[in-house]
Amino acid sequence: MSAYSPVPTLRPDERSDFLSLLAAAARPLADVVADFLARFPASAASASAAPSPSSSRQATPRHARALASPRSLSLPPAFLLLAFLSSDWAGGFGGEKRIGASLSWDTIHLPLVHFDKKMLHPTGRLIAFAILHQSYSPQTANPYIPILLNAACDETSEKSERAFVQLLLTSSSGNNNNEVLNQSAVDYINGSVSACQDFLPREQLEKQYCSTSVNCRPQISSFRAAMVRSAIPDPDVPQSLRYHHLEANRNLLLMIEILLLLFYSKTNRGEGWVRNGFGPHPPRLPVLDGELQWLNPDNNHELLWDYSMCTDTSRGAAIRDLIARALKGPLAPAQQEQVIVELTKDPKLVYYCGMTPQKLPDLVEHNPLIAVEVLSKLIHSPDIPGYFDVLVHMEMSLHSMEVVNRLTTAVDLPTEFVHEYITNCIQSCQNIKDKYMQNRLVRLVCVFLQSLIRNKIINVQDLFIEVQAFCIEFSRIREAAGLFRLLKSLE
Amino acid sequence: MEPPAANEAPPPPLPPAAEEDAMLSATAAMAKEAALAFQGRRYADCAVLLTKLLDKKEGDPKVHHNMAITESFLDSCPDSNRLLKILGDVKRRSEELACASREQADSANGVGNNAPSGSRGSGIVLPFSATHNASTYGDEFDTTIITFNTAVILYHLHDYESALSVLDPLYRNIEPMDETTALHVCFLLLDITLALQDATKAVDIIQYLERSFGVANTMNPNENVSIPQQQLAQPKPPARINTPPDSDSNAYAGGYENLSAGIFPDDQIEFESLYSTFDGHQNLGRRILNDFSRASADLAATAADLKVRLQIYKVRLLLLTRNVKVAKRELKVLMNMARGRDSSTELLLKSQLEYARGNYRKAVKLLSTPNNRTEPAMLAIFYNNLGCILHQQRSYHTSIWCFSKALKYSLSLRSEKPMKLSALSQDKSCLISYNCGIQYLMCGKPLLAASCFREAMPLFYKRPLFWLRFSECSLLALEKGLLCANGASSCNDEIEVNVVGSGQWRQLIVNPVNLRNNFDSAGVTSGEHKNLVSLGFARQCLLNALLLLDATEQENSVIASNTEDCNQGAVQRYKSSGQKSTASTDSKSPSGPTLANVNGEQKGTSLNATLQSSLALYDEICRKENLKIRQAILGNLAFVELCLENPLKALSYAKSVLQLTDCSRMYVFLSHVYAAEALCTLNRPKDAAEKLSVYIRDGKDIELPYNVENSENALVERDSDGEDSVAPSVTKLATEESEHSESLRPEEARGVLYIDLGMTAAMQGEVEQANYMVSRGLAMLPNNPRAVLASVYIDLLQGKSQEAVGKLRQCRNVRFRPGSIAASS
Repeated sequence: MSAYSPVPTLRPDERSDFLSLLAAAARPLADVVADFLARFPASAASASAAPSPSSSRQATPRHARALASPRSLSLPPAFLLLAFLSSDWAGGFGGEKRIGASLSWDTIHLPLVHFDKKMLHPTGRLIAFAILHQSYSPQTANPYIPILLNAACDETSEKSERAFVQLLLTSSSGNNNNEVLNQSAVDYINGSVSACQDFLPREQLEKQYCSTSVNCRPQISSFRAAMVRSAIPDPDVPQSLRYHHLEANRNLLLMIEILLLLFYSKTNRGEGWVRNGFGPHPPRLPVLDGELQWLNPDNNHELLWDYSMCTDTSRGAAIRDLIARALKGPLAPAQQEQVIVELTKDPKLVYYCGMTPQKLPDLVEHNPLIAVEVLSKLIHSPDIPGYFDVLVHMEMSLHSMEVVNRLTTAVDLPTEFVHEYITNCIQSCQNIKDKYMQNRLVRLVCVFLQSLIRNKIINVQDLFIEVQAFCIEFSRIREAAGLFRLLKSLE
Repeated sequence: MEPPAANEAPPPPLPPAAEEDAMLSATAAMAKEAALAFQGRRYADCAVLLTKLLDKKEGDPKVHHNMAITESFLDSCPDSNRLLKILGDVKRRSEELACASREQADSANGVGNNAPSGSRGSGIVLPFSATHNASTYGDEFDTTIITFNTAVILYHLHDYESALSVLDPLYRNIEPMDETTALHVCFLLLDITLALQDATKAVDIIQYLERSFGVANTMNPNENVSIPQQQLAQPKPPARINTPPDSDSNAYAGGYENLSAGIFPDDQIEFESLYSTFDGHQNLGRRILNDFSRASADLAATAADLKVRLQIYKVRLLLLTRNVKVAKRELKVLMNMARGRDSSTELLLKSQLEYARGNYRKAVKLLSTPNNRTEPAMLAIFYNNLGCILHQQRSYHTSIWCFSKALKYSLSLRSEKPMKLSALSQDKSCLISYNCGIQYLMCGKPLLAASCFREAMPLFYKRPLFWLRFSECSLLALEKGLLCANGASSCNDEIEVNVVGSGQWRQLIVNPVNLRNNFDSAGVTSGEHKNLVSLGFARQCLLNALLLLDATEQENSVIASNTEDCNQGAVQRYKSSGQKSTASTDSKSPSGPTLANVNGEQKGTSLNATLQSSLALYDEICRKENLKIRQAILGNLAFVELCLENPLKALSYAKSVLQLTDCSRMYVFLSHVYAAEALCTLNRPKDAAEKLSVYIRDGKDIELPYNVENSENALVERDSDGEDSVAPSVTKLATEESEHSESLRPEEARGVLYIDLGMTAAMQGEVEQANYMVSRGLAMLPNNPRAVLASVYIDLLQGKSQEAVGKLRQCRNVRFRPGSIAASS
């Protein structure tokens, strides 16, 4: 099974260098770390994001020296450091000891929570921690951080050691590190530095670690860490036969972490932990009403023939001509009749008669009846608001009033349009200077309003005040008085 | 189903007879001949004529267009994509020509409206405004028909979205169109909107049709009856409803004769006659009114047919909006109208109605009556609909059988020769596949379901619910232990205990690496389902669903804010339609000889108002459904993110479930549990415990997190109005029970809470509390392997390995197997 692979070994010369470096208690830590990294530079395997033990076995440090650019520790020494820091794997460098494949980034620290503090001299431990910490440049995620975190918060360990690791962690940026590392391991053990050190709580350290680390790896759940030995002595084996010896553990090598508890178990490929799904699965949404597709027969939609192919485009040519003339002057009665007949014959013809809103005032002034006809046929056109707009704002005249009046009875005009038109009428009356013309217009407007009111085109209440004021202003005119009486009678 | 010629009106825009002789050139004559050949379905002759025509008028887009259309009829297997390309080219060419000729006209004469009449090419009238900048309907380079045909092809290809986007501009500017084309556009658009389940738009079109074609049977009874007469008759006595006769107007009646003769008052006129012009408008008003009842001659012929068609659409729309009551009423109207016709459509609708009302037996009976069950298209429909009914009756397996059969028939349409365009649209395999997928999902077959959904994708990819269903396949696969790869492990129902070592060193190892899973996962991941069933894919689906849901809701909110305006606008438009017998006057008018009286209670209520109100109800239904969908999406997302080890994301999704208004309590519970799990993963067991402890009452007990009523499966309100509602109440009960068995029961949920709380307590070192909680949880979930494991964990934690082994032995889900893992590896 690929999940287990032997610990990589060191050659004898490497082994002695390794041990001598760990023993250099009096040298400044920075020097030791530098020497160590020079001696054991990163291998290709460990430089990759997720090295696996098996690949590191092939890539020995010697082959990989050229690839030292990402500052990280090659795997074999790293394992050994970890092994030194932890008691479980202290069986010797060259042995056939196997360790769990859980030494992937996610789980590398897990079996190491409880160190056997006797494996290394205290100074050696400090050096080991320093190397682990320094083996990754600040820009890359250091997979050993969780181990350091554990060490920093391990209340059973030496105070000096905790202080040192905390210093390492809290000063993770390069500059401060130099200061920390300029001391030697002995200095720290002697307490010169750590005397006044306050221990930060774990949460704070973690937080800091997460915030300072550029590429911080997801935190390791305490649930994952919370493992117990899942290997239980078989109760069926008689107690007397049980062989109590350390070798038993070695034989079993069954530090298989159980349970992960609540939520996790290992993947079959030894890639780490996955959720087991203790939390209930979300329910499936019940089938909604109308979610299932009921089928109905299709309606047949055939492709259409274009009947306008090669037909002449003179459709409406005659009426276009007539309308053009109608813009310039009144049409003869016969011509008017023709326009109306043509428009009636083909209700769509109005769209081809060449009208535009801009031309409307001319048409209204010269041929109001045709204007009414055209407008009432255009009532569904998307352009009709444009026509209304022009109509409201053109100069007030008998003809425009006549057009509006006829339109009100022919089609339903928008109320706003009618109101605006009336307001404009009243304003025009007030603005005329010529008395004679004013009288004419006022009489006209009064008749217009009476017609609208009688035909219930407008609701008097909407315009009551305005119209009443108008009547009072022009009360000298007979029609205005009549309109006033009409208003009163409606009250 | 019906031959196209039946409602194909005579060619509309042929020039009036008077001008014909004079103007008809050789090409026009030929064009007419070709049109006749086409109408007579002599496509070969038609093609020959068109080829000749093409010699004379090289590059004429319309000739090319008609050629393509003819060829598509001639060709037994039209290549729809090629056709689409031709139409696209023709349209582009038309627009270029229109543009060029407009420029020419502009430069020729500033205004462009006094172009020499009769001369082709330069006689184009300028469009009124920028709204039709491309071309005006009916002019030489008009592209209406081309556009319509493009939409038809897209419709047949089931590409409803594109068809809508092509056709909608035509509908927006439908006024200048001649009636026949306008009707075609409206009906096609109705089918498209119904296929897209766009009820709002469909209502708009139906209202437009009723308004403009005078086919509203319940709205304007007077008009209905008199359409044909009005066609023939010259101005008749006015519809007096509008303008009550006025004594004054009668007094000035004399004035109006002059008017109609075309003489009107100019500035010199006396004010007395001015009065007359103002009051004597009746005549003119009447005439305009008559012109505006827009049913033209060719429409009158098919008016009855039109009414039936519209009524069918109305019923379908009402069924879509689930307004079952009104649908029933309108269906009755339809049945009365359709008497003596081929009524298979009506019967199917009736069956659908009963299906919607929950009268499944009746629905089956009605479904079985249509007799033309020989064509594969009809057979597919029959089996599919039967499958829907069977699903409601919870015979899932029979239902799958039906859907598969329907699928078979539907797919057989694809291989039919000669292949027709309409056969394409009759192939409903996408829809049937979706039904089938749902069924497989319900039967617990995620892999089959996923492959069904993949087939259904082309039609459903815009619906959030579809993506939710797709993701449910992966979740179901996970639940069933079919998923293992990519960081997901199964939640097996078994605990494995390996017995390793021998003799005195024999040990039991609980839940080690599970080898069995390796094989299972290989089975799944190697197959074609690789990409369709995985947690990563599920996440993708759910994100799609969320995105689409957000988009639709945004759209809806925009619509909602416009609704006021729209409604007003609609009313306005309606009012200004020139038919002054609006709803209000309608209620007053005593004469309603038509269908309004058939269902007495309807008198006085306008169908339009009903449509609007059922639209509002439907919106409300959709809103509720969307809420359900949303909470399911978010819940699933939280779960999937947990599985994929993104506790932060899981936490935020779980929180957003809690932020939903009106969230169901079941999802509240789930989101609490997921959030707690995420918090644990984030090393915040205290927060997790806090999340879970909202359910703790009196210190130690946990209340039921939800109860049956407010769990997910709230009662489905059905319309059961007494007559034949025997079945519904029974099925309702069945619905609840069975659907509860699928999801977590409240008691189990409580057990889960106990275990979870116990484990969080254990993590915080409170072993005693943990022990208490876990043992209570175990008591509630005695057979849940996770609960057993949790309990074993607590025992091991306390060093009580004997008890742990005892529990493992008692649990029936434990399998002891001789293990060789450790030794050999």
